[in-house]
Amino acid sequence: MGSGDVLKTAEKLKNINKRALIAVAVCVALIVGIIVFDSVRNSREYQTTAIAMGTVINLRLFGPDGKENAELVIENINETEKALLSRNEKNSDIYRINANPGTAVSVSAETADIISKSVDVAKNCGGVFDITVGEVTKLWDFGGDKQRLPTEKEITEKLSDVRYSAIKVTNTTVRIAEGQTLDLGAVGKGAACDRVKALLSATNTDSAVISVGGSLLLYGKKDFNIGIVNPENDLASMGTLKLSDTFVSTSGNYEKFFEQDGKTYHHILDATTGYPADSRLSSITVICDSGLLSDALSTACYILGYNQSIELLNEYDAQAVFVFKNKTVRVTDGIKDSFTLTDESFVVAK
Amino acid sequence: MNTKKSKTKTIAFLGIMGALALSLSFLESLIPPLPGLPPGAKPGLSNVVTMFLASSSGVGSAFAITFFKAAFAGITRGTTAMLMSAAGGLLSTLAACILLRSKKIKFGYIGIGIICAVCHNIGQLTVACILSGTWALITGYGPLLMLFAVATGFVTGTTLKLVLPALDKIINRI
Amino acid sequence: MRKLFRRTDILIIAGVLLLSFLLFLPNLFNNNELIAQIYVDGEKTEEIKLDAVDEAYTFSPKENTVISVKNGAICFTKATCRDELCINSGWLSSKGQTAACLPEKIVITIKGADKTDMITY
Repeated sequence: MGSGDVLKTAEKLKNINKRALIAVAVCVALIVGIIVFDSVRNSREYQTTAIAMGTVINLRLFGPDGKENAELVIENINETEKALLSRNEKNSDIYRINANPGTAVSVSAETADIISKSVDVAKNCGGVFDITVGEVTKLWDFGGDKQRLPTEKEITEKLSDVRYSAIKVTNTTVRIAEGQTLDLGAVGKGAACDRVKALLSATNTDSAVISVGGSLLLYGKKDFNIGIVNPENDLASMGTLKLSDTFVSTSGNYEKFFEQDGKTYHHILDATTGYPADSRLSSITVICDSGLLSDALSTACYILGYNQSIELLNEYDAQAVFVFKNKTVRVTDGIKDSFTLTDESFVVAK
Repeated sequence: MNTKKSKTKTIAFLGIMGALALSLSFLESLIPPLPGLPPGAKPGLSNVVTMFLASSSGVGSAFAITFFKAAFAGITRGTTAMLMSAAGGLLSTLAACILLRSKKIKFGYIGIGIICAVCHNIGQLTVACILSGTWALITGYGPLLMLFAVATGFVTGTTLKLVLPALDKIINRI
Repeated sequence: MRKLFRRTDILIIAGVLLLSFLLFLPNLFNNNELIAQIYVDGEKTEEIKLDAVDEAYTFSPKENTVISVKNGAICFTKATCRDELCINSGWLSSKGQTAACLPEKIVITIKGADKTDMITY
């Protein structure tokens, strides 16, 4: 063994190490590349706006196959309207129930469940929210051609048929009494959101935020900043909520209304009086783990007002943001930390 | 030198190189489009072939394969693909020829790989802008594309250095 | 024998990173742009930069529906629905505003401020 051999071996070792180093570097680069590629792929967003259920649907999906999944969502919402909830589609569950009062009509388990839960909310809120309010809603015809202030006599007459207790629900059948009409307008969008969530669970979507006419589904682990619309000016939000994996619904007096003889009549009817609810609130936003419930509760709580809503919300483990007509804001404890006021003309009550 | 035999050799050799370049392109095409990047953006591994040719074979063969790739893209994927491949390929091969054949420019393989990748992207971006009628694509896709080029250039440069001995052997045998 | 990596390569990488950053800068100044998006049947069909509109013009995304565009604003001017709610929405000229023609499934929306991911109403 001479010094020459040592040098040669040293050279060889150096070369091997260099080669190994390069090989490792390339592998690391490829692995990092694949990881980045995969995470970027999953944060891929697909956004679109569509019309379904007579309203504007905004979709933002994160993850693979955004476009395809978005199409499935729209299809699903149309299906909800057509097969379950529509008052006009001849074969929808609701249509058939309304067309056959006094009979136990066979419906899908989902519709039966929706009605059953709605009756439950009606019970717990003293009937101010009641899905049998259909005949009274027809009198007012908010947003329709025959929109008007009905006479007291008309309202009293139709009000006698507004009785949630007359609904008989089983797992697969629903029966209403003669003279009754079901109107699921107050919960339809939330119910659609529930079905969309079930649909998305069966797809490869990572997360999504979907608005069905203002009722939101937050799907997946991703946090979203949800804006609460300023009741005075629907261009801007007056506050934001940081939420994930939940449902959000808002009831407000600014959405559908008309003026007659100097008075404003908004579309949230108190089912016990047949008239628009006399509330100190301009809007209430309810956050709950069910779309149907968040919709129903937002309507019920708007009518009940702040004090009487707290108990109802607790019963359903729901949170809410109350926006009063005097621009005060009250936030329930569960989401106090998630709410940020963005419009200083409003005041958050302590 | 038997010119007929060396011509056959050249054609055979270019054939092998062309096939290699195409198979690499094909493998890359299996990668789905990445968000933030234009739909056709790929690591450009087939550029390792053109870079190798630029350094060890000749300017002619490098450009021959470049045109071959563009033509193949045109036949299989259409005019747009052909233009994109041509623009990116020409600029990248030009850079490769200058950088790899110059004794004075002493950049490392990684640096050269990056420059070639950047040139490839610039060429494709330019064609994309001309075809879609707006220069907004430059500020839209540009930033991410350049970052992407650093990564892909790193990979192609390193790959080149690794396979150079093997490819050189092929060239010497032929 | 050319080396794999040399010190000058670091300069090259730095240069490309700088280039990437420079190309990115113009994007920061785009926030004041008013961009209208048109969705037809659930697909985005157009994006119009309202600030860049010189001469007012109209176009029909579908037969019997007309959208008017002028500098800084856009609106429905003809529609097939009875109540003409879309037309009554008037000129849209602020971020976040939306007008929808329900029967034709056409929605015009002005790209909104980025503070919120979705608005509940």
